[in-house]
Amino acid sequence: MNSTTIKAVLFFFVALTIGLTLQQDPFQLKAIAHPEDQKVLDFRDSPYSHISWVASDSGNYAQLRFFDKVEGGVCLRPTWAELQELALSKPDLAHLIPKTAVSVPENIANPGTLSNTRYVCLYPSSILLNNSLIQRANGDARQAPANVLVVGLGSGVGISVLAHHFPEASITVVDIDQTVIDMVVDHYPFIASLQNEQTSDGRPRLILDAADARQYITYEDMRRDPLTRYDVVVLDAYTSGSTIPSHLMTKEFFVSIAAILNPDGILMSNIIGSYTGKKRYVLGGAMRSMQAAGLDQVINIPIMTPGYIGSIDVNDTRNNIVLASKAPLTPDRNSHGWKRMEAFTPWNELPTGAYETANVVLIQGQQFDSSALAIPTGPLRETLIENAIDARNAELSSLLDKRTRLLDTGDKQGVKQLDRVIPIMKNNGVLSQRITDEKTSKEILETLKKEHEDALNWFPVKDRTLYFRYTDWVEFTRQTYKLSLIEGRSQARGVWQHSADTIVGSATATKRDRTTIFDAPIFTDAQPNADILNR
Amino acid sequence: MNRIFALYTTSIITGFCMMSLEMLGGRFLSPVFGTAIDVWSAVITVFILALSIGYVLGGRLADRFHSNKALGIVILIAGAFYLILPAYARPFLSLMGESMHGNSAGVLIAANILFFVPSLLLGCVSPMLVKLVFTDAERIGRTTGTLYAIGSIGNVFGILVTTYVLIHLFELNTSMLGMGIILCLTGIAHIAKNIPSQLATEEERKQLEETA
Repeated sequence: MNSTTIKAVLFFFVALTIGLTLQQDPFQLKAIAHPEDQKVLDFRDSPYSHISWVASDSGNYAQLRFFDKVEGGVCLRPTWAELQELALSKPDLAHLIPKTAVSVPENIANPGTLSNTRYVCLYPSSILLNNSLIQRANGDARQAPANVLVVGLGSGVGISVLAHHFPEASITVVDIDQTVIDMVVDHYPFIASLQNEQTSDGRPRLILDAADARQYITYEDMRRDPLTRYDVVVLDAYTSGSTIPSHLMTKEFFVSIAAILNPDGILMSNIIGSYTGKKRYVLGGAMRSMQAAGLDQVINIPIMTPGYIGSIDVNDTRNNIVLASKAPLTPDRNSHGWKRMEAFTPWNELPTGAYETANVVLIQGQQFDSSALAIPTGPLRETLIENAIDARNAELSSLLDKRTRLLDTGDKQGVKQLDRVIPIMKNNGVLSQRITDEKTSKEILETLKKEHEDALNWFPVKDRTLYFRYTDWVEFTRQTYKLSLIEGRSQARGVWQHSADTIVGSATATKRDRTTIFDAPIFTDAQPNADILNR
Repeated sequence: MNRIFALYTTSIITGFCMMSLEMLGGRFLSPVFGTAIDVWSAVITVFILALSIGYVLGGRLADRFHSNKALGIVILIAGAFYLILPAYARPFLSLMGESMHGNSAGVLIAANILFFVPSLLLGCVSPMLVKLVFTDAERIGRTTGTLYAIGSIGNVFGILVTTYVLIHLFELNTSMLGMGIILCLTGIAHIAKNIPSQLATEEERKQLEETA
């Protein structure tokens, strides 16, 4: 063997060593501000994505991820078992007890139906707004015999929300990726069990089908005799990187959806976007394309975050629930529907104060600087929550004082702004507070040292402070629902701020230059660019 | 016959790895840039661009060297890039994703930085192989044609095996390391076993034999 060959072999081993030792984990689990106890429950590759279930006890979630993007999450607690126990004393929850016995393997997390994802909290609106559907249930919305088609399964949390609140709904889910369906069936026993359950009139409660949604609607639904009619079509198909497959966001596709909807039926879509800036095109384009397809009554409900005051800025990129129908949807023309929505409390049967998370993160300046560590239940946790509530109340009363002053000076704009901020600061299920008191910080870190190895790296804390976060998940979901409806109903100068007429102009409008997204495109099969326009 | 077999095998292996990297390239970029048409546009652009430059460089290297040693070195370095890609791809992409968020040029730049060099090196291989398989001028069309055909078959297998086998059985990193090892061993084999070009002059051949 000559010297060049030996050099070549050495070079190979150096490169191999670098590759083997320095290769990066495909999961970004240890990302800053994420809970330290996050773990991967399972992962699989499919032709479409790399799919994993990631769970954290201290964050109270099980999330389905495509690559490292979270597609949706469900609260780990209450578990399905806990919900079934609760159902024994609450007849409203009886439908969560399976009629066909289910054995849940011990190593499965067995999450319940409480959402850890904000936008799905608004899913009930698609049923509550449908007047003829509620009429068929003799006015009892929770007994609505809805036929629902869902495009895009994700973690399954959206199905859980619908199945929890509407036991008489028959849901068909179409997802292009069989592996996603398998992952959900294997790790979400509640969803799996729904497949064997029936509504009181004998329709299946859940059908999971692996197919391309467009092909499914054209070749299955539209060819059935008699034609399948849905009360709700939910569109929530995303590839990783928050892009919507372009063929599921065109006028022609919406025409075929309109064909399978009942006259009062509603197309409900989850669309990530904003009203200004680059992210406006897909949101505006979706609304205009729906109008062009004959679903000309379109409204948006922007999803609000309890506790984060900044999030009421409608120009932020956020999840939006866009509802489209042939029947009227605005609060003035569908007042019954809006009354039903506003009277509705999601997860009404669950107790507050039972499913909460409390953790701390180190922050440096404005940036998170560590993973989040859970604070164990005990006196320290109680004190921290009390302190945070005190701090919030102090802030609230100073805002109320400010409101009084502004009223006196006649600053209407300022008062209006405060009136939107103040309600979301009241009991919203979320507390967050920077802990500046040195004694408390030390006490927290001493406690954490016993619980978490990670906390050892936090000593000594120089130029950094602790940030306390607390969430009551039942309250959080209810407030998300409530605040989003408040925002969805908002009116200025006599127009609905979030109706499509205001945002992109009415279906018949010729001039759109006075609308919020005046340059929204119509997506067609000839130019289906919803996938690249959100860049 | 053995010599031709070795060169054709090299062609198949490099063709396979090239297209496999292109398919896996999309998977490397997806977590940050999504799976829309612009991601595939970026990946394909990089590979075609790298190939065209690789052909030019490979052609010049082929004229300059009269044995397979240079070929071995090129393949070895390409293999090394396959081996270390799992180490630098993700941290680099996380950085890119943050700084280039919302910029349509981001994915093009990222794809170039990640995949340009290894695909360029593999692009050099074809012209170098043409020189080595050459036996006589009358059959040059046939030999180069067959060589290209075999390389393209390697490409086809690279695409299909990656899509239907590799991504289901292995993680991205494992596939990259596996192909890196195969490429490096191929390179080392070429460095160790001398195959002189038939086009080398009498003097050059003597010189080659001496160094071997």
